[in-house]
Amino acid sequence: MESVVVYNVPHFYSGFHTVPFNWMVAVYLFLGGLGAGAFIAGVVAVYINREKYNTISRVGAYVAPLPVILGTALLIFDLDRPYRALSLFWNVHGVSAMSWGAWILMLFSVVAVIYALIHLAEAGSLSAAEPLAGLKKPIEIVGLVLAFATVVYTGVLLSLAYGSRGMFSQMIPVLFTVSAISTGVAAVMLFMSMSSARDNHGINRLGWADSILIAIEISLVGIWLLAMINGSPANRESIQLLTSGPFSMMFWIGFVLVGLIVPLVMELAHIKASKGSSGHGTGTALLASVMVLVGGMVLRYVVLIAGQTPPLT
Amino acid sequence: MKRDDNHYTGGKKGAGSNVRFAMLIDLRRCIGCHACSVACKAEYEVPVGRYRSWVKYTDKGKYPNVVRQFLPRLCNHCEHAGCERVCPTSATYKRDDGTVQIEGSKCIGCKYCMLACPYEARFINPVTGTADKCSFCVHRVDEGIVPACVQTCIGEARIFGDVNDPKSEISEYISKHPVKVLNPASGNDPHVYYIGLDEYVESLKGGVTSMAGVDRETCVK
Repeated sequence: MESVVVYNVPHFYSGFHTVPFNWMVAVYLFLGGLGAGAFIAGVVAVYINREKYNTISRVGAYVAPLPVILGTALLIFDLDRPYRALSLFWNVHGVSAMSWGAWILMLFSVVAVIYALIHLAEAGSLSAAEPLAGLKKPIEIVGLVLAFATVVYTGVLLSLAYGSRGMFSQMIPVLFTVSAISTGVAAVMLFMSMSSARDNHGINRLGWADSILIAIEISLVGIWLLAMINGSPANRESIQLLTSGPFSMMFWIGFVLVGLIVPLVMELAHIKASKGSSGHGTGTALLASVMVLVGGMVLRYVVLIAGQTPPLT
Repeated sequence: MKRDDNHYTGGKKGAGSNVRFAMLIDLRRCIGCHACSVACKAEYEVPVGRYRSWVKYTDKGKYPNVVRQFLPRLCNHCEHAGCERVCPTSATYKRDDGTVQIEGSKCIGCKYCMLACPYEARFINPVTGTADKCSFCVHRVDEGIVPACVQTCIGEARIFGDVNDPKSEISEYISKHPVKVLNPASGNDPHVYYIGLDEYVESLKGGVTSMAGVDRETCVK
């Protein structure tokens, strides 16, 4: 049998568990996007109609801080010298995405916590935070900008690195941004469908928003796949890891089917079924939002890990 | 080509002058002895399982017509170094002589540079917890001595010098031979040149069937 055998040093890559950015970074990419996406969903709902969508805005404010802080904690834990993490704030490097990201994550975490406290005070559960109530409108604007920066940063972090095989194209920030807002909306929808005080109208509106975002995401995935398949040999080889290689099951079933197509159909079905009936169950919306969250996590994991799998030559 | 005094860089010092250090590896002269890997390990006490400089082996063919080829690897000291751009704390920096260096005290071990490097040149040093890689032996070069791997190479396959000086040995070699670099598509403008890389890449056509030290499942085509 004609064969080619390569012997290389194992210091860089000896299996999926040894890549530089491992699953902890993938979870951060997911949680950071989810938290910031939920914040965006809440604030945008406020700007559409402050009275009508108060529940959405409150749930968005409560959901936002914890995932972002948890994701940032994972990033710090993933450092090989975590006790030096604070030096990111004085050893700055203007062209490095991570140098910007450290500031963005820190500022957004603070703003998201303040915004959640304001909503707690409004609901009457935290009187100590009442003096903050006057800050609500400026915090909404600053928070929206920072939330967008957080969402975009999760994609730009990858697109600015070569990643050993050209997987991290300029489409990644665009795709991750839409996906992150979609997972944020889904998270808000999930908590709203689980809460006792149901706001069926709000859930329906979120379902609409999420369906539109998923539809955009499906077209973006299509454009991305076509661009990669018709791109450089390195692009083509790397995308084949997802479309037909070792990650194809996760990509097609975990992301495309479970994360995009099925929840889109379910959300549209839910909207159609609940038209006119105010007491419609929220089971469909709940299940669809869980699937969107699973899809968002799978997308980040496969892109991150496959993108770091070195080429064979 | 005079190689009678290959211990010296011709009095070139790194800092301050119009110097651009680079390395040329003549694959026709490499016998895969790993003397460069060993010299590098001895020079820097590189931890077990990690390499600043190493040799990749490729076996090809069907018995009895088999061939083994060698590809010495190290940091390519790129002109547009991706690792330097992404480093969030400026721990990685470029010197005036074009070499890419790491200031260990500033490194937080985020591994972003490892993600950005198209040459697998970087690793986390398990002793210090910081990013580590080939430094082109700047502490030797600054004293006018060539890097350890160049000095020890028994086939004299490695030539180190200043590519901005048209009279240097490396410049004369590059002007007389077709040279190639690894992964030019990454756009980093690497400064480790190879003679005979075409033959090496040609030998890999037809698909790699196995890769030692790497998850086998991903390599079978």
